[in-house]
Amino acid sequence: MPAAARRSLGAFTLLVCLCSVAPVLVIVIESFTSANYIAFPPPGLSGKWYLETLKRPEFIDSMVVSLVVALGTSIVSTTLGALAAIALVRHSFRGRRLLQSLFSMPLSLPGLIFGLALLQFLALHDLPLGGWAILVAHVVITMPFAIRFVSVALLGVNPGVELAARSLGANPWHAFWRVTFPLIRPGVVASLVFAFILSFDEVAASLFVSTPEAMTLPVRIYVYIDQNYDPLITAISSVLVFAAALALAVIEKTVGMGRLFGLR
Amino acid sequence: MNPEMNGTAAIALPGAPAPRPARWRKPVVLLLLLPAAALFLVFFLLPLGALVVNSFHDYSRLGGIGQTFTPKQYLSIFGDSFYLEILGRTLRLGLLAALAALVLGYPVALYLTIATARQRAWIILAVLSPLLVSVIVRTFGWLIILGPNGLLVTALEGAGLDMQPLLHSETAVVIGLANVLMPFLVLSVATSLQAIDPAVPLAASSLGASPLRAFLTVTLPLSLPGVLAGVLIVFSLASSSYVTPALLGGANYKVLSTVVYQQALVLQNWPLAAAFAVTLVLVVFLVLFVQTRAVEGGKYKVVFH
Repeated sequence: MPAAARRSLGAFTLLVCLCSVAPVLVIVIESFTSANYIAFPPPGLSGKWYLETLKRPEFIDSMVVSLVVALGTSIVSTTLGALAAIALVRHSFRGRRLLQSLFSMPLSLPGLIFGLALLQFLALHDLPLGGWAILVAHVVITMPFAIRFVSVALLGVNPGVELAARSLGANPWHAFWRVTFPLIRPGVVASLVFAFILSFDEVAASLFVSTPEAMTLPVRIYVYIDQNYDPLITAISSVLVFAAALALAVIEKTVGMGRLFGLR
Repeated sequence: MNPEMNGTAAIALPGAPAPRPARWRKPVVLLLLLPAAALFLVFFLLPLGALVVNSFHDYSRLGGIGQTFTPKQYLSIFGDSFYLEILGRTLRLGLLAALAALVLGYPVALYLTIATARQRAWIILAVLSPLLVSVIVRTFGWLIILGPNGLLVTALEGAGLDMQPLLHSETAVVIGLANVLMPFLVLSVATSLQAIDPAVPLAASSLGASPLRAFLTVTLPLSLPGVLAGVLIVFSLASSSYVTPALLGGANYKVLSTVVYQQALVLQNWPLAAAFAVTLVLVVFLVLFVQTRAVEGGKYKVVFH
Protein backbone atom coordinates (compact mmCIF):
# COMPACT_ATOMS: atom_id res chain seq x y z
CA MET A 1 0.00 0.00 0.00
CA PRO A 2 1.39 3.47 -0.92
CA ALA A 3 2.56 5.56 2.05
CA ALA A 4 0.00 8.33 1.42
CA ALA A 5 -2.90 5.87 1.39
CA ARG A 6 -1.56 4.18 4.49
CA ARG A 7 -1.27 7.51 6.31
CA SER A 8 -4.77 8.71 5.42
CA LEU A 9 -6.23 5.35 6.34
CA GLY A 10 -4.42 5.58 9.66
CA ALA A 11 -5.70 9.11 10.28
CA PHE A 12 -9.26 8.03 9.48
CA THR A 13 -8.94 5.04 11.82
CA LEU A 14 -7.68 7.31 14.60
CA LEU A 15 -10.68 9.60 14.09
CA VAL A 16 -13.14 6.68 14.21
CA CYS A 17 -11.46 5.32 17.35
CA LEU A 18 -11.78 8.72 19.02
CA CYS A 19 -15.47 8.93 18.09
CA SER A 20 -15.93 5.40 19.36
CA VAL A 21 -14.75 6.22 22.87
CA ALA A 22 -16.00 9.84 22.84
CA PRO A 23 -19.43 9.27 24.44
CA VAL A 24 -17.91 7.32 27.32
CA LEU A 25 -15.12 9.88 27.90
CA VAL A 26 -17.58 12.77 27.74
CA ILE A 27 -19.72 11.18 30.48
CA VAL A 28 -16.79 10.61 32.82
CA ILE A 29 -15.53 14.19 32.33
CA GLU A 30 -19.01 15.67 32.74
CA SER A 31 -19.57 13.72 35.97
CA PHE A 32 -16.95 15.94 37.67
CA THR A 33 -18.76 19.16 36.74
CA SER A 34 -19.42 21.83 39.34
CA ALA A 35 -22.47 23.16 37.49
CA ASN A 36 -26.07 22.24 38.31
CA TYR A 37 -26.94 21.73 34.65
CA ILE A 38 -25.39 19.75 31.80
CA ALA A 39 -22.96 21.81 29.69
CA PHE A 40 -19.89 20.47 27.93
CA PRO A 41 -17.11 21.31 28.58
CA PRO A 42 -17.93 21.70 32.31
CA PRO A 43 -17.40 25.24 33.67
CA GLY A 44 -15.59 23.93 36.78
CA LEU A 45 -14.67 20.70 38.50
CA SER A 46 -16.05 19.13 41.65
CA GLY A 47 -17.04 15.75 43.08
CA LYS A 48 -20.41 16.92 44.33
CA TRP A 49 -22.49 14.76 41.98
CA TYR A 50 -20.89 11.62 43.34
CA LEU A 51 -21.84 12.74 46.87
CA GLU A 52 -25.34 13.45 45.57
CA THR A 53 -25.52 9.88 44.25
CA LEU A 54 -24.94 8.51 47.73
CA LYS A 55 -28.04 10.38 48.93
CA ARG A 56 -30.25 8.58 46.42
CA PRO A 57 -31.13 5.18 47.91
CA GLU A 58 -33.05 4.07 44.80
CA PHE A 59 -29.84 4.11 42.77
CA ILE A 60 -27.91 2.23 45.44
CA ASP A 61 -30.72 -0.37 45.58
CA SER A 62 -30.64 -0.73 41.81
CA MET A 63 -26.88 -1.16 41.91
CA VAL A 64 -27.33 -4.06 44.33
CA VAL A 65 -30.08 -5.59 42.16
CA SER A 66 -27.85 -5.30 39.09
CA LEU A 67 -24.85 -6.88 40.82
CA VAL A 68 -26.85 -9.78 42.29
CA VAL A 69 -28.66 -10.47 39.00
CA ALA A 70 -25.43 -10.26 36.98
CA LEU A 71 -23.63 -12.60 39.36
CA GLY A 72 -26.53 -15.07 39.33
CA THR A 73 -26.81 -14.87 35.54
CA SER A 74 -23.09 -15.44 35.14
CA ILE A 75 -23.10 -18.59 37.29
CA VAL A 76 -26.43 -20.11 36.19
CA SER A 77 -25.91 -19.39 32.49
CA THR A 78 -22.35 -20.73 32.43
CA THR A 79 -23.30 -23.88 34.37
CA LEU A 80 -26.35 -24.73 32.23
CA GLY A 81 -24.52 -23.65 29.07
CA ALA A 82 -21.49 -25.78 29.84
CA LEU A 83 -23.64 -28.87 30.52
CA ALA A 84 -25.52 -28.33 27.26
CA ALA A 85 -22.27 -27.67 25.38
CA ILE A 86 -20.81 -30.99 26.55
CA ALA A 87 -23.86 -32.84 25.27
CA LEU A 88 -23.91 -30.90 21.99
CA VAL A 89 -20.19 -31.26 21.24
CA ARG A 90 -19.37 -34.69 22.65
CA HIS A 91 -22.48 -36.69 21.83
CA SER A 92 -24.51 -37.27 18.75
CA PHE A 93 -28.24 -37.75 19.15
CA ARG A 94 -31.45 -37.04 17.36
CA GLY A 95 -32.50 -33.40 17.36
CA ARG A 96 -29.01 -32.05 18.06
CA ARG A 97 -29.21 -29.52 15.21
CA LEU A 98 -32.67 -28.44 16.34
CA LEU A 99 -31.47 -27.83 19.90
CA GLN A 100 -28.45 -25.92 18.62
CA SER A 101 -30.68 -23.55 16.68
CA LEU A 102 -33.07 -23.24 19.63
CA PHE A 103 -30.23 -22.24 21.95
CA SER A 104 -28.95 -19.61 19.51
CA MET A 105 -32.39 -18.07 18.88
CA PRO A 106 -32.09 -15.35 21.55
CA LEU A 107 -29.23 -13.89 19.46
CA SER A 108 -31.60 -12.92 16.68
CA LEU A 109 -34.59 -11.93 18.80
CA PRO A 110 -34.53 -8.28 19.94
CA GLY A 111 -34.40 -7.95 23.75
CA LEU A 112 -37.38 -5.60 23.63
CA ILE A 113 -39.56 -8.29 22.08
CA PHE A 114 -38.35 -11.05 24.36
CA GLY A 115 -39.07 -8.75 27.33
CA LEU A 116 -42.60 -8.07 26.08
CA ALA A 117 -43.22 -11.80 25.49
CA LEU A 118 -41.94 -12.71 28.95
CA LEU A 119 -44.05 -9.96 30.55
CA GLN A 120 -47.23 -11.19 28.85
CA PHE A 121 -46.42 -14.83 29.69
CA LEU A 122 -45.71 -14.12 33.37
CA ALA A 123 -48.86 -12.01 33.68
CA LEU A 124 -50.90 -14.77 32.02
CA HIS A 125 -49.82 -17.26 34.69
CA ASP A 126 -49.87 -14.78 37.60
CA LEU A 127 -46.11 -15.15 38.08
CA PRO A 128 -44.28 -12.27 39.78
CA LEU A 129 -42.12 -9.69 37.99
CA GLY A 130 -38.91 -8.27 39.46
CA GLY A 131 -35.64 -9.91 40.45
CA TRP A 132 -36.42 -13.52 39.46
CA ALA A 133 -37.98 -12.51 36.17
CA ILE A 134 -34.95 -10.36 35.29
CA LEU A 135 -32.61 -13.23 36.21
CA VAL A 136 -34.51 -15.70 34.00
CA ALA A 137 -34.53 -13.21 31.10
CA HIS A 138 -30.79 -12.62 31.40
CA VAL A 139 -29.97 -16.32 31.62
CA VAL A 140 -31.88 -16.94 28.37
CA ILE A 141 -30.21 -13.95 26.66
CA THR A 142 -26.67 -14.95 27.71
CA MET A 143 -27.04 -18.73 27.15
CA PRO A 144 -26.02 -18.63 23.43
CA PHE A 145 -22.70 -17.05 24.44
CA ALA A 146 -22.09 -19.49 27.30
CA ILE A 147 -22.73 -22.46 24.99
CA ARG A 148 -20.56 -20.95 22.26
CA PHE A 149 -17.57 -20.15 24.49
CA VAL A 150 -17.57 -23.58 26.17
CA SER A 151 -18.19 -25.40 22.86
CA VAL A 152 -15.23 -23.66 21.21
CA ALA A 153 -13.06 -24.62 24.19
CA LEU A 154 -14.29 -28.24 24.11
CA LEU A 155 -13.61 -28.56 20.38
CA GLY A 156 -9.98 -27.75 21.09
CA VAL A 157 -9.66 -30.66 23.53
CA ASN A 158 -8.98 -34.15 22.20
CA PRO A 159 -11.71 -36.44 23.61
CA GLY A 160 -9.00 -39.10 23.76
CA VAL A 161 -7.43 -37.54 26.87
CA GLU A 162 -10.57 -38.08 28.93
CA LEU A 163 -10.81 -41.59 27.53
CA ALA A 164 -7.19 -42.20 28.54
CA ALA A 165 -7.98 -41.14 32.10
CA ARG A 166 -10.99 -43.48 32.08
CA SER A 167 -8.92 -46.39 30.86
CA LEU A 168 -6.42 -45.69 33.66
CA GLY A 169 -9.24 -46.19 36.16
CA ALA A 170 -10.70 -42.72 36.74
CA ASN A 171 -14.49 -42.60 37.01
CA PRO A 172 -16.27 -40.28 34.51
CA TRP A 173 -16.75 -37.52 37.11
CA HIS A 174 -13.11 -37.62 38.14
CA ALA A 175 -11.91 -37.77 34.53
CA PHE A 176 -13.96 -34.66 33.65
CA TRP A 177 -12.85 -32.55 36.61
CA ARG A 178 -9.19 -33.52 36.59
CA VAL A 179 -8.58 -33.70 32.84
CA THR A 180 -11.16 -31.96 30.65
CA PHE A 181 -12.19 -29.10 32.94
CA PRO A 182 -8.69 -27.62 33.39
CA LEU A 183 -8.34 -27.68 29.60
CA ILE A 184 -11.60 -25.80 28.94
CA ARG A 185 -11.18 -23.37 31.84
CA PRO A 186 -10.39 -20.32 29.58
CA GLY A 187 -13.71 -20.85 27.79
CA VAL A 188 -15.55 -21.13 31.09
CA VAL A 189 -13.92 -17.95 32.39
CA ALA A 190 -14.79 -16.12 29.16
CA SER A 191 -18.38 -17.26 29.55
CA LEU A 192 -18.57 -16.16 33.21
CA VAL A 193 -17.15 -12.71 32.44
CA PHE A 194 -19.17 -12.15 29.27
CA ALA A 195 -22.47 -13.26 30.82
CA PHE A 196 -21.86 -10.97 33.77
CA ILE A 197 -21.21 -7.97 31.53
CA LEU A 198 -24.16 -8.65 29.22
CA SER A 199 -26.49 -8.99 32.18
CA PHE A 200 -25.08 -5.94 33.95
CA ASP A 201 -25.59 -3.79 30.80
CA GLU A 202 -28.91 -5.19 29.55
CA VAL A 203 -31.73 -2.65 29.20
CA ALA A 204 -34.43 -3.62 26.70
CA ALA A 205 -35.73 -6.88 28.21
CA SER A 206 -35.27 -5.71 31.81
CA LEU A 207 -37.36 -2.65 31.03
CA PHE A 208 -40.45 -4.87 30.76
CA VAL A 209 -39.99 -7.25 33.68
CA SER A 210 -38.57 -4.81 36.27
CA THR A 211 -40.76 -3.50 39.07
CA PRO A 212 -40.27 -0.14 40.86
CA GLU A 213 -38.83 -2.13 43.81
CA ALA A 214 -36.58 -4.43 41.79
CA MET A 215 -35.09 -2.45 38.93
CA THR A 216 -31.62 -2.88 37.47
CA LEU A 217 -29.31 0.13 37.29
CA PRO A 218 -29.48 0.62 33.47
CA VAL A 219 -33.29 0.60 33.67
CA ARG A 220 -33.22 3.05 36.60
CA ILE A 221 -30.92 5.30 34.53
CA TYR A 222 -33.28 5.07 31.54
CA VAL A 223 -36.33 5.95 33.64
CA TYR A 224 -34.44 8.89 35.16
CA ILE A 225 -33.15 10.27 31.83
CA ASP A 226 -36.65 10.01 30.40
CA GLN A 227 -37.81 12.66 32.90
CA ASN A 228 -34.67 14.60 33.93
CA TYR A 229 -31.58 16.09 32.34
CA ASP A 230 -28.97 16.87 34.98
CA PRO A 231 -25.39 15.83 35.90
CA LEU A 232 -26.55 13.37 38.59
CA ILE A 233 -26.95 10.69 35.96
CA THR A 234 -23.45 11.29 34.58
CA ALA A 235 -22.00 10.39 37.99
CA ILE A 236 -24.11 7.21 38.15
CA SER A 237 -23.26 6.32 34.55
CA SER A 238 -19.59 6.80 35.35
CA VAL A 239 -19.90 4.12 38.01
CA LEU A 240 -20.99 1.75 35.20
CA VAL A 241 -17.99 2.92 33.13
CA PHE A 242 -15.60 2.21 36.02
CA ALA A 243 -17.16 -1.24 36.44
CA ALA A 244 -16.62 -1.83 32.70
CA ALA A 245 -12.98 -0.74 33.04
CA LEU A 246 -12.56 -3.29 35.83
CA ALA A 247 -14.12 -5.98 33.63
CA LEU A 248 -11.82 -4.92 30.79
CA ALA A 249 -8.79 -5.38 33.02
CA VAL A 250 -10.00 -8.87 34.00
CA ILE A 251 -10.61 -9.79 30.34
CA GLU A 252 -7.22 -8.51 29.18
CA LYS A 253 -5.56 -10.54 31.96
CA THR A 254 -7.43 -13.76 31.20
CA VAL A 255 -8.73 -14.04 27.63
CA GLY A 256 -7.84 -10.85 25.75
CA MET A 257 -10.41 -8.48 24.30
CA GLY A 258 -9.77 -9.43 20.68
CA ARG A 259 -9.90 -13.16 21.37
CA LEU A 260 -13.10 -12.83 23.39
CA PHE A 261 -14.77 -11.55 20.22
CA GLY A 262 -13.10 -14.06 17.93
CA LEU A 263 -10.32 -11.91 16.42
CA ARG A 264 -6.89 -13.40 16.08
CA MET B 1 -19.60 -27.82 15.19
CA ASN B 2 -17.02 -30.33 14.18
CA PRO B 3 -18.62 -33.67 13.29
CA GLU B 4 -15.36 -35.57 13.80
CA MET B 5 -15.49 -34.73 17.48
CA ASN B 6 -18.68 -36.68 18.05
CA GLY B 7 -17.09 -40.02 17.55
CA THR B 8 -16.11 -40.49 21.20
CA ALA B 9 -18.36 -43.49 21.71
CA ALA B 10 -17.15 -45.07 18.51
CA ILE B 11 -13.89 -45.98 20.22
CA ALA B 12 -15.30 -48.76 22.39
CA LEU B 13 -13.48 -49.52 25.61
CA PRO B 14 -12.27 -53.11 25.95
CA GLY B 15 -15.05 -55.13 27.48
CA ALA B 16 -17.61 -52.36 27.04
CA PRO B 17 -21.03 -53.47 25.80
CA ALA B 18 -21.77 -53.12 22.10
CA PRO B 19 -23.04 -49.61 21.23
CA ARG B 20 -26.79 -49.31 21.52
CA PRO B 21 -28.86 -47.11 19.14
CA ALA B 22 -27.89 -43.43 19.44
CA ARG B 23 -31.13 -42.43 21.14
CA TRP B 24 -30.73 -44.71 24.12
CA ARG B 25 -26.99 -45.05 24.47
CA LYS B 26 -26.52 -42.09 26.75
CA PRO B 27 -29.16 -41.17 29.29
CA VAL B 28 -26.44 -38.78 30.44
CA VAL B 29 -27.09 -36.67 27.31
CA LEU B 30 -30.63 -36.11 28.50
CA LEU B 31 -29.40 -35.11 31.96
CA LEU B 32 -26.87 -32.68 30.50
CA LEU B 33 -29.42 -31.02 28.22
CA LEU B 34 -32.45 -31.08 30.49
CA PRO B 35 -31.83 -27.93 32.59
CA ALA B 36 -31.08 -25.65 29.63
CA ALA B 37 -33.77 -27.15 27.40
CA ALA B 38 -36.44 -26.93 30.13
CA LEU B 39 -35.52 -23.31 30.79
CA PHE B 40 -35.79 -22.47 27.08
CA LEU B 41 -39.09 -24.30 26.73
CA VAL B 42 -40.77 -22.60 29.68
CA PHE B 43 -39.24 -19.13 29.59
CA PHE B 44 -38.48 -18.66 25.90
CA LEU B 45 -40.71 -20.74 23.60
CA LEU B 46 -43.89 -20.53 25.68
CA PRO B 47 -43.61 -16.72 26.11
CA LEU B 48 -43.08 -16.29 22.36
CA GLY B 49 -46.13 -18.48 21.78
CA ALA B 50 -48.13 -16.39 24.24
CA LEU B 51 -47.03 -13.26 22.39
CA VAL B 52 -48.22 -14.58 19.04
CA VAL B 53 -51.53 -15.76 20.54
CA ASN B 54 -52.07 -12.39 22.22
CA SER B 55 -51.46 -10.58 18.94
CA PHE B 56 -54.61 -12.26 17.58
CA HIS B 57 -56.81 -11.07 20.44
CA ASP B 58 -59.09 -8.08 20.70
CA TYR B 59 -58.57 -5.20 23.10
CA SER B 60 -60.80 -2.49 24.46
CA ARG B 61 -59.95 0.01 27.15
CA LEU B 62 -62.89 -1.06 29.30
CA GLY B 63 -63.09 -4.78 28.57
CA GLY B 64 -59.34 -5.43 28.52
CA ILE B 65 -58.01 -8.30 26.41
CA GLY B 66 -60.70 -10.25 24.55
CA GLN B 67 -60.59 -14.02 24.17
CA THR B 68 -61.75 -14.52 20.59
CA PHE B 69 -59.45 -15.02 17.64
CA THR B 70 -59.27 -11.96 15.38
CA PRO B 71 -56.69 -10.59 12.91
CA LYS B 72 -57.95 -7.11 13.82
CA GLN B 73 -54.62 -5.84 15.25
CA TYR B 74 -52.71 -6.74 12.08
CA LEU B 75 -55.41 -5.21 9.88
CA SER B 76 -55.16 -1.98 11.85
CA ILE B 77 -51.36 -1.94 11.46
CA PHE B 78 -51.31 -2.59 7.73
CA GLY B 79 -54.44 -0.53 7.02
CA ASP B 80 -53.21 2.63 8.70
CA SER B 81 -50.94 5.00 6.76
CA PHE B 82 -49.54 6.37 10.05
CA TYR B 83 -48.36 2.89 11.09
CA LEU B 84 -47.07 2.07 7.60
CA GLU B 85 -45.03 5.26 7.70
CA ILE B 86 -43.52 4.07 11.02
CA LEU B 87 -42.69 0.73 9.42
CA GLY B 88 -40.94 2.50 6.54
CA ARG B 89 -39.05 4.76 8.94
CA THR B 90 -37.87 1.73 10.93
CA LEU B 91 -36.43 0.07 7.84
CA ARG B 92 -34.83 3.32 6.67
CA LEU B 93 -33.21 3.79 10.07
CA GLY B 94 -31.78 0.27 9.97
CA LEU B 95 -30.42 0.86 6.48
CA LEU B 96 -28.90 4.28 7.28
CA ALA B 97 -27.26 2.96 10.45
CA ALA B 98 -25.83 -0.02 8.55
CA LEU B 99 -24.43 2.24 5.79
CA ALA B 100 -22.95 4.66 8.33
CA ALA B 101 -21.35 1.79 10.25
CA LEU B 102 -19.96 0.38 6.99
CA VAL B 103 -18.45 3.69 5.85
CA LEU B 104 -16.86 4.22 9.28
CA GLY B 105 -15.97 0.62 10.05
CA TYR B 106 -14.60 -0.79 6.80
CA PRO B 107 -11.50 1.45 6.70
CA VAL B 108 -10.80 0.56 10.34
CA ALA B 109 -10.99 -3.16 9.59
CA LEU B 110 -8.75 -2.60 6.57
CA TYR B 111 -6.21 -0.67 8.60
CA LEU B 112 -6.13 -3.53 11.14
CA THR B 113 -4.58 -5.75 8.43
CA ILE B 114 -1.61 -3.42 7.88
CA ALA B 115 -1.18 -1.98 11.41
CA THR B 116 1.70 -2.91 13.68
CA ALA B 117 0.93 -5.25 16.58
CA ARG B 118 0.97 -2.32 19.00
CA GLN B 119 -1.44 -0.24 16.88
CA ARG B 120 -3.70 -3.26 16.43
CA ALA B 121 -4.00 -3.73 20.18
CA TRP B 122 -4.96 -0.07 20.67
CA ILE B 123 -7.48 -0.05 17.82
CA ILE B 124 -9.13 -3.25 19.06
CA LEU B 125 -9.29 -1.76 22.53
CA ALA B 126 -10.82 1.52 21.31
CA VAL B 127 -13.37 -0.14 19.05
CA LEU B 128 -14.40 -3.05 21.26
CA SER B 129 -14.16 -1.74 24.82
CA PRO B 130 -17.30 0.45 24.47
CA LEU B 131 -19.18 -2.86 24.11
CA LEU B 132 -18.52 -3.38 27.82
CA VAL B 133 -20.43 -0.20 28.70
CA SER B 134 -24.21 -0.30 28.71
CA VAL B 135 -25.90 1.08 25.58
CA ILE B 136 -27.83 3.43 27.84
CA VAL B 137 -24.60 5.08 29.01
CA ARG B 138 -23.16 5.38 25.50
CA THR B 139 -26.40 6.87 24.22
CA PHE B 140 -26.46 9.31 27.11
CA GLY B 141 -22.93 10.35 26.12
CA TRP B 142 -24.25 11.31 22.67
CA LEU B 143 -27.03 13.25 24.39
CA ILE B 144 -24.32 15.36 26.03
CA ILE B 145 -22.36 15.72 22.77
CA LEU B 146 -25.30 16.58 20.52
CA GLY B 147 -27.64 18.32 22.98
CA PRO B 148 -28.06 21.97 23.95
CA ASN B 149 -24.83 23.35 25.51
CA GLY B 150 -23.23 20.14 24.23
CA LEU B 151 -19.76 19.54 22.87
CA LEU B 152 -20.79 19.94 19.22
CA VAL B 153 -22.70 23.20 19.66
CA THR B 154 -19.94 24.66 21.86
CA ALA B 155 -17.23 23.64 19.41
CA LEU B 156 -19.11 25.09 16.44
CA GLU B 157 -19.79 28.31 18.33
CA GLY B 158 -16.07 28.52 19.02
CA ALA B 159 -15.49 28.25 15.28
CA GLY B 160 -17.93 31.10 14.73
CA LEU B 161 -20.75 28.92 13.42
CA ASP B 162 -24.27 29.02 14.76
CA MET B 163 -26.14 25.74 14.76
CA GLN B 164 -29.28 24.18 16.08
CA PRO B 165 -28.60 21.16 18.34
CA LEU B 166 -28.78 17.93 16.34
CA LEU B 167 -30.63 16.22 19.18
CA HIS B 168 -34.10 14.82 18.50
CA SER B 169 -33.54 14.22 14.80
CA GLU B 170 -33.03 11.17 12.63
CA THR B 171 -29.39 12.23 12.13
CA ALA B 172 -28.81 12.02 15.89
CA VAL B 173 -30.32 8.52 16.04
CA VAL B 174 -28.20 7.35 13.09
CA ILE B 175 -25.03 8.77 14.68
CA GLY B 176 -25.82 7.06 17.98
CA LEU B 177 -26.67 3.71 16.40
CA ALA B 178 -23.65 3.76 14.07
CA ASN B 179 -21.45 4.33 17.11
CA VAL B 180 -23.10 1.70 19.27
CA LEU B 181 -23.17 -0.97 16.54
CA MET B 182 -19.95 -0.27 14.59
CA PRO B 183 -17.91 -2.82 16.61
CA PHE B 184 -20.01 -5.65 15.13
CA LEU B 185 -19.27 -4.47 11.61
CA VAL B 186 -15.54 -4.09 12.28
CA LEU B 187 -15.40 -7.59 13.82
CA SER B 188 -17.20 -9.12 10.88
CA VAL B 189 -15.16 -7.40 8.16
CA ALA B 190 -11.86 -7.89 10.00
CA THR B 191 -12.51 -11.64 10.27
CA SER B 192 -13.19 -11.76 6.55
CA LEU B 193 -10.08 -9.74 5.67
CA GLN B 194 -7.92 -11.91 7.94
CA ALA B 195 -9.01 -14.97 6.01
CA ILE B 196 -7.61 -13.62 2.72
CA ASP B 197 -4.31 -15.21 1.74
CA PRO B 198 -1.87 -12.26 1.52
CA ALA B 199 -0.35 -13.87 -1.58
CA VAL B 200 -3.52 -13.22 -3.58
CA PRO B 201 -3.47 -9.38 -3.61
CA LEU B 202 0.32 -9.66 -3.99
CA ALA B 203 -0.14 -11.77 -7.10
CA ALA B 204 -2.44 -9.07 -8.51
CA SER B 205 0.17 -6.34 -8.01
CA SER B 206 3.00 -8.48 -9.34
CA LEU B 207 0.90 -8.95 -12.48
CA GLY B 208 0.88 -5.17 -12.82
CA ALA B 209 -2.29 -4.06 -11.03
CA SER B 210 -2.06 -0.69 -9.29
CA PRO B 211 -2.61 -0.83 -5.50
CA LEU B 212 -6.07 0.73 -5.96
CA ARG B 213 -6.98 -1.77 -8.64
CA ALA B 214 -5.67 -4.70 -6.60
CA PHE B 215 -7.84 -3.53 -3.74
CA LEU B 216 -10.96 -2.93 -5.82
CA THR B 217 -10.82 -6.13 -7.85
CA VAL B 218 -9.27 -8.58 -5.37
CA THR B 219 -9.36 -7.60 -1.70
CA LEU B 220 -12.76 -5.86 -1.71
CA PRO B 221 -14.70 -8.68 -3.42
CA LEU B 222 -13.05 -11.27 -1.16
CA SER B 223 -14.15 -9.32 1.91
CA LEU B 224 -17.78 -9.13 0.75
CA PRO B 225 -19.02 -12.04 2.91
CA GLY B 226 -17.81 -10.16 5.98
CA VAL B 227 -19.32 -6.91 4.71
CA LEU B 228 -22.67 -8.61 4.09
CA ALA B 229 -22.70 -10.33 7.48
CA GLY B 230 -21.71 -7.11 9.25
CA VAL B 231 -24.25 -4.95 7.42
CA LEU B 232 -27.02 -7.44 8.13
CA ILE B 233 -26.14 -7.63 11.83
CA VAL B 234 -26.11 -3.84 12.15
CA PHE B 235 -29.33 -3.55 10.14
CA SER B 236 -31.22 -6.04 12.28
CA LEU B 237 -29.91 -4.65 15.57
CA ALA B 238 -30.54 -1.04 14.51
CA SER B 239 -34.07 -1.59 13.24
CA SER B 240 -35.08 -3.29 16.48
CA SER B 241 -33.13 -1.14 18.94
CA TYR B 242 -35.15 0.76 21.49
CA VAL B 243 -32.98 2.88 23.79
CA THR B 244 -31.13 4.93 21.16
CA PRO B 245 -34.16 6.00 19.06
CA ALA B 246 -36.14 6.70 22.25
CA LEU B 247 -33.49 8.96 23.78
CA LEU B 248 -31.85 10.61 20.76
CA GLY B 249 -34.95 10.76 18.55
CA GLY B 250 -37.21 12.41 21.09
CA ALA B 251 -40.92 11.91 21.71
CA ASN B 252 -41.97 12.59 18.12
CA TYR B 253 -39.55 10.20 16.46
CA LYS B 254 -41.51 6.96 16.24
CA VAL B 255 -40.15 3.63 15.05
CA LEU B 256 -41.66 0.15 15.59
CA SER B 257 -39.70 -0.50 18.78
CA THR B 258 -40.78 2.74 20.45
CA VAL B 259 -44.39 2.04 19.43
CA VAL B 260 -44.16 -1.46 20.95
CA TYR B 261 -42.95 0.07 24.20
CA GLN B 262 -45.58 2.79 24.19
CA GLN B 263 -48.47 0.42 23.42
CA ALA B 264 -47.34 -2.15 25.99
CA LEU B 265 -46.24 -0.09 28.96
CA VAL B 266 -47.95 3.30 28.52
CA LEU B 267 -51.25 2.48 26.84
CA GLN B 268 -51.43 -1.12 28.16
CA ASN B 269 -52.78 -2.36 24.81
CA TRP B 270 -50.97 -5.70 24.91
CA PRO B 271 -52.55 -7.29 21.83
CA LEU B 272 -51.60 -4.36 19.61
CA ALA B 273 -48.09 -4.25 21.17
CA ALA B 274 -47.77 -7.99 20.49
CA ALA B 275 -48.90 -7.53 16.88
CA PHE B 276 -46.33 -4.76 16.41
CA ALA B 277 -43.63 -6.96 17.95
CA VAL B 278 -44.46 -9.89 15.65
CA THR B 279 -44.55 -7.52 12.65
CA LEU B 280 -41.14 -6.11 13.58
CA VAL B 281 -39.57 -9.56 13.83
CA LEU B 282 -41.13 -10.81 10.59
CA VAL B 283 -40.26 -7.69 8.59
CA VAL B 284 -36.63 -7.71 9.77
CA PHE B 285 -36.29 -11.43 8.96
CA LEU B 286 -37.85 -10.90 5.54
CA VAL B 287 -35.45 -8.08 4.71
CA LEU B 288 -32.45 -10.12 5.91
CA PHE B 289 -33.58 -13.07 3.79
CA VAL B 290 -34.11 -11.00 0.63
CA GLN B 291 -30.83 -9.08 1.04
CA THR B 292 -28.84 -12.27 1.60
CA ARG B 293 -30.40 -13.92 -1.44
CA ALA B 294 -29.85 -10.86 -3.63
CA VAL B 295 -26.20 -10.44 -2.71
CA GLU B 296 -25.20 -14.11 -2.60
CA GLY B 297 -26.75 -14.73 -5.99
CA GLY B 298 -25.10 -11.70 -7.58
CA LYS B 299 -21.89 -11.08 -9.44
CA TYR B 300 -19.63 -12.23 -6.60
CA LYS B 301 -21.54 -15.33 -5.57
CA VAL B 302 -18.38 -17.41 -5.83
CA VAL B 303 -16.83 -15.73 -2.75
CA PHE B 304 -19.73 -16.86 -0.57
CA HIS B 305 -18.89 -20.56 -0.87
